[in-house]
Amino acid sequence: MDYVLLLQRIFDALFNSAIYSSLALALVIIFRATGLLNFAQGEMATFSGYIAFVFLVGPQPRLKGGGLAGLIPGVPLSVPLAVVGAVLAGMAVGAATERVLIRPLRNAPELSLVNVSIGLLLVINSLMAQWWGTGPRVFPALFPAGAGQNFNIFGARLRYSTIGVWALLFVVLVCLIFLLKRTRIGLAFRAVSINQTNSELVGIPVGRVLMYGWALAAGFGALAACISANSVLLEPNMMLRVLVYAFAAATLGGLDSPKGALVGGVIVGLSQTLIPAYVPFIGFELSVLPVLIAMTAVLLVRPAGLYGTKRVERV
Amino acid sequence: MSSPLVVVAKGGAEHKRWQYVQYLYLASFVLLVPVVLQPFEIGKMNRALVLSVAILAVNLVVGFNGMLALGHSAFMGVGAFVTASLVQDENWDFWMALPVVVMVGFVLGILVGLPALRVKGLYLALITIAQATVFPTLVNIDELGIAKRTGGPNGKGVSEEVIAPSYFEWLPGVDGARGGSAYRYWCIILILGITLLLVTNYIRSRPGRAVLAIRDNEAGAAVYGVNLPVVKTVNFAISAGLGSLAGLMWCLDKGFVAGQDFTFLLAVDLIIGLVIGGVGTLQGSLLGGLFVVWVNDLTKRITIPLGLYTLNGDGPLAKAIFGLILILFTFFAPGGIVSLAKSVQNKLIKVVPIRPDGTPAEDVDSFDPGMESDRAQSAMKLAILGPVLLTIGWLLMNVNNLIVGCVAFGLRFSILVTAPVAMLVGSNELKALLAGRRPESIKAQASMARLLGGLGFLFVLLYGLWLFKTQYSSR
Repeated sequence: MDYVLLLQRIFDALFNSAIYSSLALALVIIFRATGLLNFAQGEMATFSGYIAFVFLVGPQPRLKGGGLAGLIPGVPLSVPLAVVGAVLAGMAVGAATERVLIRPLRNAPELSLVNVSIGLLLVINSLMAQWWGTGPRVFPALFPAGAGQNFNIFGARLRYSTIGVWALLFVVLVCLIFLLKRTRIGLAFRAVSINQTNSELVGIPVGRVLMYGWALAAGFGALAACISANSVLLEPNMMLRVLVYAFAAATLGGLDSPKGALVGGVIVGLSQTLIPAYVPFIGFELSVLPVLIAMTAVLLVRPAGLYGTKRVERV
Repeated sequence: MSSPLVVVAKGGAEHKRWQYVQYLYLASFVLLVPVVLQPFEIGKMNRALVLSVAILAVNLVVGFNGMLALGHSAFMGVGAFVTASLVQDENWDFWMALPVVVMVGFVLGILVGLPALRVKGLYLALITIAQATVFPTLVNIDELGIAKRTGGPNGKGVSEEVIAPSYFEWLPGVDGARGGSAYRYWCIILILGITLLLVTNYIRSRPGRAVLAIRDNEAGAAVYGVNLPVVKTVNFAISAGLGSLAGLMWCLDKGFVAGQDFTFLLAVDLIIGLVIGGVGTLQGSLLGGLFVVWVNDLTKRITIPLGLYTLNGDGPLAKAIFGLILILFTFFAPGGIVSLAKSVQNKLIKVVPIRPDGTPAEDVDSFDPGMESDRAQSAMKLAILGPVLLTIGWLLMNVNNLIVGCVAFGLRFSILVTAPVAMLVGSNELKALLAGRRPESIKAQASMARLLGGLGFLFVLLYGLWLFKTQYSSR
């Protein structure tokens, strides 16, 4: 067995793992708060990616003839500023979604919530395709990712961008933990996640706290989109496939555990790269299959996932 | 019109008459489609009916059993590919393949359902959506000869065309011009009808009631002795078998099957049809299929110019409109079209159940003599409204505008409801008058309503008959 190659594959997989982890985190935050799987999370993230794109090069819609309007002047911001702007815009979209679409359905059955998020997925996806076209757009890399920009560890190349992405993710995570553990609003959010009725009774504005939760989740999604837009190319369907992996990651780790989302993201990223490489009859085309089988298996053995809390039902 | 125009006892003569009208409409719809529509429109209708069967399959799990299984596009795909392979590679007949396909779907449903149904709610939605996502790539596997059977990324065509045998040429529409699609239409109608009959009986049977009980209260059902895993799994398997059947119909209709036809988007279409038609109702599944296909067809023709930029329905916009409709229905009509239609019908006709002793649970023609009744008057208005709307619709028909066209279409069809209802209410009021429960003053209005409504209904019938006759004999 070629260990350098194995190490190289692991390093490559870690980049994707970061994307899956951050999108899985977004899913977990919303699931904890509202008990809803947001199928539109990927599209909301892609939309933020396009916002960053607009900040970088301008609106660039597709016009009647099918060509691009290259002449519309953009707001050329630097890449980090554009990402920050996109995250903020994504957070605004997330908060608005909660306020307009989710809050009125608080006591509705699960199917209604699934419907709304699927409807949102369709609407955002096709509006993006309508405005920016379905062709992929080039998005600058957040961290140096060119040839030769890497560390050499035992002969395997660990790219700066992988390290940068994980560093970014950790910084954001530390901020998140600080927010949740050390601030008043974080305390309120944790209370709402545990028990909505009781939180309401002690005077927490549940609706507003949930709105912040959605904004937070959308922010993580936006981050995932900005990270991945360079390698996957920015296009309306960019996140559909990523979302499936993120779902698998969140389920593996436990849908209500942020730690689980991180671990799940890493597992999914690794198995997506490693299993097709070492199991002969699974091509890269099918790399989603082992991930989904693993997800199903985990759900069957531990329905709550690796780190999730077990649900106890009261009859 | 806050109170219903006419209150009828369930199973009474009036109720039966109203039901006959409904059956008549259904039958004439079925008979007129292949003779009036163009061949490509019949093709769309076929697709709609195929989707109806698939939505019925989803409904069996989601609507009747309360499990969020959203991945039936994969079962459809399996059915379609098995059919294509049997017909094309093994030279089977479609009808020979049918039981095999249903059995394959059933067994697959048990295999998927046994593990999947251990998890609940959104977790199940996740697994089944994963199943729908992975299916299109599964057909491309080279191992086990799968790609050879399914045609891989190129898809698989069925070269044997479905043509009516000579002894079926009398079927409406099955003539030279539209023979192929019309004959396929009749095949699909036959399968759909039998499926509907079986599913209706299944829901009313003992296991069907157990399925409903699980939806309404799982713990309660278990306490009453329902074997949860068995009932759930068998129900899921039946639904998967139905899904495969829809796949067979898909193959029969299109003659070509590709993995790209059975993506997550098809699963989303099925969910949209289910929700918009009406979750947990059989009619809802039918309406859902029709809605998904025809509204999609309609939205494709929309163009909205916005200066430099044109919103074109023939692109991604169609999906946005569908998503918007899905959200709007979830908010404002969670029961779908069926519940909307029911609420309209309840304004016109209220059906009260019969007590065990044979009397209606509510007084059927409750009305104190001497009080002013506006029922006869409303009926008369309704009877006049029908022809007026019909005329307006007819005049607007040639305006070349999508929205006006849709409105005209709706106006023309409103007489289908107004005429028989006016007739029914009129005759009911007259009967009450004879029994001395109405003031004499309503007599003129009631007989007017009965006469006009009857004429309108007669006109509808004769027009339908004429349409059928001219189109049928114009072969």
